[in-house]
Amino acid sequence: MTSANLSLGEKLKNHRTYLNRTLWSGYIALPFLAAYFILGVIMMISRTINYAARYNQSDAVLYQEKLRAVSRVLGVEQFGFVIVIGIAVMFALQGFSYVFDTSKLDFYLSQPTTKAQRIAKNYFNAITSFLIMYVGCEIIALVIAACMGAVGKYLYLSVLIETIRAFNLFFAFYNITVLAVMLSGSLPIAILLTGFFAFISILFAGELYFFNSMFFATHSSMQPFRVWFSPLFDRFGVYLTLVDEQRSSFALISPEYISNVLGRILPREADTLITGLIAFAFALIFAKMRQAEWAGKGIVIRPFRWLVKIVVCVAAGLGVGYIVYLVYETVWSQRLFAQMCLIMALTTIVTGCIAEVILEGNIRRVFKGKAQTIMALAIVLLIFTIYRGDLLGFDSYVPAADKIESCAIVNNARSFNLLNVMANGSIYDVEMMAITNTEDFVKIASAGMENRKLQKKNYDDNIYDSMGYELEILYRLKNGRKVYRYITVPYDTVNEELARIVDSEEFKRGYFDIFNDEIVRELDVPSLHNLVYDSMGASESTKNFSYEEFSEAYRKDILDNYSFEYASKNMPIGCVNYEGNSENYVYGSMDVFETYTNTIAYLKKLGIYIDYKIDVSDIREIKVNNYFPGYDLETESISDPDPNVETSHATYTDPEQIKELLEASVYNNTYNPWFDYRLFNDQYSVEILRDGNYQYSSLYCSILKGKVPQFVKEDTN
Amino acid sequence: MIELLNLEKSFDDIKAVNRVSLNILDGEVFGLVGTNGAGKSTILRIISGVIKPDEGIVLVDKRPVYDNPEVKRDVFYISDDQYFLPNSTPEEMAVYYENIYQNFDKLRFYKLCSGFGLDVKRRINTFSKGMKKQVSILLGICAGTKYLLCDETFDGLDPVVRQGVKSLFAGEMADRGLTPVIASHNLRELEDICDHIGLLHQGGVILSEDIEDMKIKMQKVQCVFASEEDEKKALEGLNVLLHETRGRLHTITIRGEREEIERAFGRGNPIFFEVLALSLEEIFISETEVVGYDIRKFVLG
Repeated sequence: MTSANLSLGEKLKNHRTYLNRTLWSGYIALPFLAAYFILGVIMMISRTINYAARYNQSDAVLYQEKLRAVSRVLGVEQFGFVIVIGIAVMFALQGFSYVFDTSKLDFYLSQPTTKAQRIAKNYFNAITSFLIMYVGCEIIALVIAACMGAVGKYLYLSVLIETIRAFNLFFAFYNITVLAVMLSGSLPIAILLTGFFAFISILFAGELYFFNSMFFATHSSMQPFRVWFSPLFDRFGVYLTLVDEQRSSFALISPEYISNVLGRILPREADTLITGLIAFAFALIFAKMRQAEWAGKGIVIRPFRWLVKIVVCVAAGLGVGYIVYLVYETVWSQRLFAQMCLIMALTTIVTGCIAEVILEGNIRRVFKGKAQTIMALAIVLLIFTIYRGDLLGFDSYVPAADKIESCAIVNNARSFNLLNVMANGSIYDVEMMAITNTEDFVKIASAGMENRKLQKKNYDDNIYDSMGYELEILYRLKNGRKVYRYITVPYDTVNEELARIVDSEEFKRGYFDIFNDEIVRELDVPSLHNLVYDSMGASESTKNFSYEEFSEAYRKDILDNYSFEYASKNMPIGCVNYEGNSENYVYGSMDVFETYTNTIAYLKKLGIYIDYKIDVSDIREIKVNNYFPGYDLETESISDPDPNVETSHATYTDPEQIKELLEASVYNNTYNPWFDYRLFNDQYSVEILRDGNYQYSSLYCSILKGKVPQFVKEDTN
Repeated sequence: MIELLNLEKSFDDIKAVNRVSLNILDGEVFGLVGTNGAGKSTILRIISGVIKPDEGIVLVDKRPVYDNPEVKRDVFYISDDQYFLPNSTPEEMAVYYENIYQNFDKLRFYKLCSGFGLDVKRRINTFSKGMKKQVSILLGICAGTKYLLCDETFDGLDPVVRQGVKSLFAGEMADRGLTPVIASHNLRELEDICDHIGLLHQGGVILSEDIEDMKIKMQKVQCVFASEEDEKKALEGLNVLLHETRGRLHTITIRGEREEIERAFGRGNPIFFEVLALSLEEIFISETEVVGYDIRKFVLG
């Protein structure tokens, strides 16, 4: 009897036997998947039940906690993708490693199939095996979760989304590994090449990001770290974001949750899919080109081998450049750039030698392949030159006003701090500000860019004079790009433009958290809140207030009574602190200027306003510190004095001297982003010690430039 | 019929097959003989569709073989270094091939394994080298293909098994017209099984002929001449391949038919003259020495 008469059952049985013998790594992966999914679900749900019993959680809360627990194992927040990556790499290596071995090639390629059929069969076997394992374990875990009352329709949706993502990830890594196999002649080289494909885009993106921060004065750390064509980064990056956002905010498994998650994952999943498809296309092309006699070689296609060597050398050269910077960061100076360049060049050459030995598997090849090493060296030096000379104009990049959709100034001093809510973007989002006066914004940015470069140069020369308003800005370009820059807007130069921007409603509504405090209002519980007014070292508080009324009064003051001109010359007189201690702890701190008539009126109505002007009779003594005795920083640069000079002190109790000191000093206990800090003489600090029952008996002030009393100069120098 | 026309294949700078043209007729046992590195395995790998030639044509029953499953269904290739699925048994290999070759006869395979003393349920990786070769050969025979390509397949088989395999080949040829192509440098093994020999050297074909024709067209003569003049008269016009002299005894290998050579030696009137039978090995040595292969450096199997 011949095999032409085989029944379907026999054929399937035979196929199973074949799979057992060719994809046996599935037997290694299956226990890991089963342990992760099945044991994971059981353990997470039982932990949740125990927690609920211990802390008397209600049934509704327990149900949500169970859903969250299952979602962490099976849903979009899961960490099981690491196993998926492992399976994809193992299956690809096992399925296609026959190309490395002549006897296996003879065995497989002499059989009556085409190359395409053989590849299709391997893909089919790997994908079906993976899906059966993955979905099988998932279904068992879901059945267990259902038995433990831990399922719901949005959880099912989350699991379904994750299953699609898992397949997408598997497909991408499988193709990347197959591509590596097709370009390699041996298993070790294929594994190295898979790692190369997986990490190279992350490495380069990271290196160039660090180079931006290292070389450019206007680089902003808010500029997102973007990596393209990297399924590894796509997955890890989103995982960390979801853990940070969803877990820390205890997000409920709800339609909003699904919607938020989809917004996060879709762009990265698209990148993974595109990478997978590109790898698939190249894998097919190289599989078609591949010849049986390539078995046993290093990297089989010569130009690609050169490319790999060049890329590795360049990556090593750039990476070492950053390490040099890290080592010398605290003592960095311009001349160290030359040293950095030299070390980068040497590293590139040494890496070229090592890469040659590894790729050829022959230590005698150490000095071969000079052309590629020289090419890599040229690229490294070119990149260094581009960054060092800013040949692409990073530090002078200001988009044309008509190409900008809107702009924003990033508020780095938020008013509110909402525990567990702060990360969900509700009030901490730079997207709240959309300045459309792009003409003025561009003028400010241009001046700020130039000034920032000068400031960085001063810093490198140990000159730390205040040079302007330090701002992080965002351009939203019409082409969809977002560009962040760090600038130092010089004092006085563009004050009119700054005034038009800062005084605009679109700036105020985006800059001050109070305009986006819906969640604070929502969480506010009258019996659990507190309002404190601090001024000049005194403090008054009340629990009998309406947060909404306060918020409205404060909003009105910002819109009507806050201006750049006023803020640039005056410091706040006090500060309102709000505390809400209901479901989520909320803390807010808002400065009060003398012009805030609505807020002051409301505080007066509550009886907590402190109408206090400091008086000579309250003061016991004033201590003045001179940090650089023997120098005069009003005429000398701050970099001139000997940094080791000892601070001198003087104490004044004479009412006349105290009066003169009070007239020369400004209470300086708060931060005002628009204040011209050049008005202060930083050589001196003033500590006022008062009699009486003040919460803080000491007040700290700065002396205005040109107003340092003569007796202070004489006593402290 | 398998036709090779001007076949060329290079591995980097090495020309493994250099303008090889051969015809392998159906129903005959074709022996591919050659020096080490002559290109025997490469030719078999090309015929089986594993390797794509750089130049030239390979046709199996008038059809190109490379990446052509229809043709490959008629060809079974037993590699020099056989591969079996990891941890598999002969039984599992039979199951595997059952899905690959439509005419695979599993029952016959079990029967033959039993006859050769091979346990079909034992892991192949525990078999000896010779037993693995037996499994390969039996799998090849039971695949039911028209062509069976054997690369150094008989090496390592004990004489009894070797004889058994030869009998199997003979039976298959008679029953269903199997055409075995056997590559080997073990000339003694091929001599009594092959009908036709292709002799390869440095990637090229030195000769391709039926063994009987080959023996008819080349003679080894031992003779003693009275004088050098007689020797010259006798050898004049003959195509002498090898000529050795020990004392007055000459041993001469000459290309030509027996009658022609006897006539020529009649002119020289030798004191002693005898035509000896040539073995395939001697033909191989003679032909390769003519093209510069110094056989004395090697010991043939």
